[in-house]
Amino acid sequence: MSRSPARRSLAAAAGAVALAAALAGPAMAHVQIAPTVVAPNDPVKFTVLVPGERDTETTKVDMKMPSGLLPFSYEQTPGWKRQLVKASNGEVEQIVWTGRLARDGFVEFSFLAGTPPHPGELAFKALQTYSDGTVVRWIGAPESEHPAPVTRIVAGATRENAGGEGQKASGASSTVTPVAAKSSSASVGADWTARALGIASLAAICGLGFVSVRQRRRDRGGRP
Amino acid sequence: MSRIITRALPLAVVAVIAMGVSDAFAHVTLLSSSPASNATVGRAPSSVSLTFSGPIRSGTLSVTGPGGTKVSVGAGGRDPRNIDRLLVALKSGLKPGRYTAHGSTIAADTHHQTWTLSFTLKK
Repeated sequence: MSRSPARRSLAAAAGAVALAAALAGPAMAHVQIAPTVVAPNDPVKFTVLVPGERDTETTKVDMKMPSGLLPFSYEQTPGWKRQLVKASNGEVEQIVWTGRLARDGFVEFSFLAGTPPHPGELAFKALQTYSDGTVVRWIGAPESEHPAPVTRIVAGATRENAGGEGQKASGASSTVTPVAAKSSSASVGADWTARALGIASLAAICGLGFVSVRQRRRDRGGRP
Repeated sequence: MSRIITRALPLAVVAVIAMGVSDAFAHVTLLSSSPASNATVGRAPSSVSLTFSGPIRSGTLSVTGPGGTKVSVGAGGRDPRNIDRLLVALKSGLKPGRYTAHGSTIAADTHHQTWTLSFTLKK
């Protein structure tokens, strides 16, 4: 069964399309930010998605914080170190993550931040450094080859209230007593999850204790 | 088995309590103030500031003196030189007596909090 010339050229065309798609593939792996739409004046959990797109490992991601955004809590990404670069007034200017990302891997970094009070755009300019020293600058316009990920602040957008409570603490007056700085690294949501897990494990341990005490009593032949 | 439980139980209790403590997360706590809370100062300060555990978005600060007279200038607000600090300038020529500062802050997570502190200006 011999192939007709038409079928052969069709196969060739399909191959070319596949090859083109494969070549275009790596360029599609953009650094992204989520969410892309946020409400003003809202604590939001932002997540930066960084895919590797070269033949070497990504070793550093350096993201510039848009002005007016107030980051206040950072997720610990396993295997990655996080460093904050602050301006003289304490404002976080850059978050620098260092670690190792496999060539075909991706990594996500999350942080909680208060959005600015007015509608507008937040451009998260990022520099992605590879182990061979190459730096890919994700700082361009949306349609450029290496666009900076952008989040729009839209009045009336759904509020996230990430890290906040359901209701604001109104009228909760604090008497001023100097206190030591508290380390705060988990979101309230995570905090409650952690506590629930803690309580569950406590209950489990108590349960086990009860069983083992009963077991021991039984082993002693019922003597107290 | 029961020995493991005896050891693990206090640890678990401590862990759960510790998790409870971190609940105040994302609200700010007051680290220090100038003048210090309940301090007696010999010279009239030119400003009052409250420094917090984290950044604030905005805030207000006013100070009243003997007889309830307002002695602060303007509404106060976030220190342009430190986003963790609330600041207000005071008028000059303050009389001796007890002064009270009333502050309000909106934290990065949008939580509203209020603050009160007093200090005394010596004769």
